[in-house]
Amino acid sequence: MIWPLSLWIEALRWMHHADSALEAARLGERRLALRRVALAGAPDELACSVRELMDLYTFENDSLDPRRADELRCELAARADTGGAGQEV
Amino acid sequence: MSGEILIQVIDIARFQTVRPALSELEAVRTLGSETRAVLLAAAASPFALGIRYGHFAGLLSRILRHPELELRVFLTLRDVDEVIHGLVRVLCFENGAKYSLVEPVGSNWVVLESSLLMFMHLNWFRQIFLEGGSESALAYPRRGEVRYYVLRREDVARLAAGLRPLLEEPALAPEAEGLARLRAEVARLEAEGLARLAARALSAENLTLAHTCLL
Repeated sequence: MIWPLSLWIEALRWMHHADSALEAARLGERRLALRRVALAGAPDELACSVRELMDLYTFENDSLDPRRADELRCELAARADTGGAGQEV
Repeated sequence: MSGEILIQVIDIARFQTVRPALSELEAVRTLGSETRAVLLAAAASPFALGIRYGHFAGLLSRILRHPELELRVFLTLRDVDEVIHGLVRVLCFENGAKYSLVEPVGSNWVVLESSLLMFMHLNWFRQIFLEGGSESALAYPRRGEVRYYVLRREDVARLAAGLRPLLEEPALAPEAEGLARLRAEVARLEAEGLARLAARALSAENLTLAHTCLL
């Protein structure tokens, strides 16, 4: 299910509209839930997924859901403290 | 056609060698050892860090760190496309497909802009660059903003032969001045650069020219 969700998210982001961006973020939540299971052994990648979801909540430099974005930011910070922040390079 | 044409030297034999790895990446499953070896070779290239401010190198690093994971679990379609495009650039194009929009001519590239109008009036140029159709499209990258088209070696030879008489003509009419003079000088520079690229591509069996449209 993760890959079809990723394809849907990509397509919705291409529409470049606030409603479709919000829909993409909702699908992103489902994808993250699935990735939490699939990537349980790869905390660095899970952190990348959290970061991706934060990006999905951003549309034209505005947050579509500031409260949720804050929660994700806190999760990312907590992961960094425990060594699972997952920097790309 | 509008805009500019970017022309670069590509190692087409190398492309055929890495093509199975590109197909495997596109399938977004777990990668085999041969594909991982291709990724490692790209990661070791000094050109890898130059692509999108290191984002390509970062993606390679993430993939190589988790050989047990299927790509579809942790990458997006855009990520996969970027890896495929980056691999083609780093491993198959000379100088990592580096080019500049500021300098129309470089050691491994030519951006035809000033000379494009002149070239478009030449039958042989149109046949070589515009009438190749989908048959001449490079198999990868097949999605995203960039699509490359590859010249057959006989077309590279035709290009070199077509450019020769143009370069033997006097550079400018003596009365040309101002903007017209500047345009003519840049067009000449582009034609000379293209002739150099064609000669380079003809110097080895594994090389040819690839072109793409810059919008």
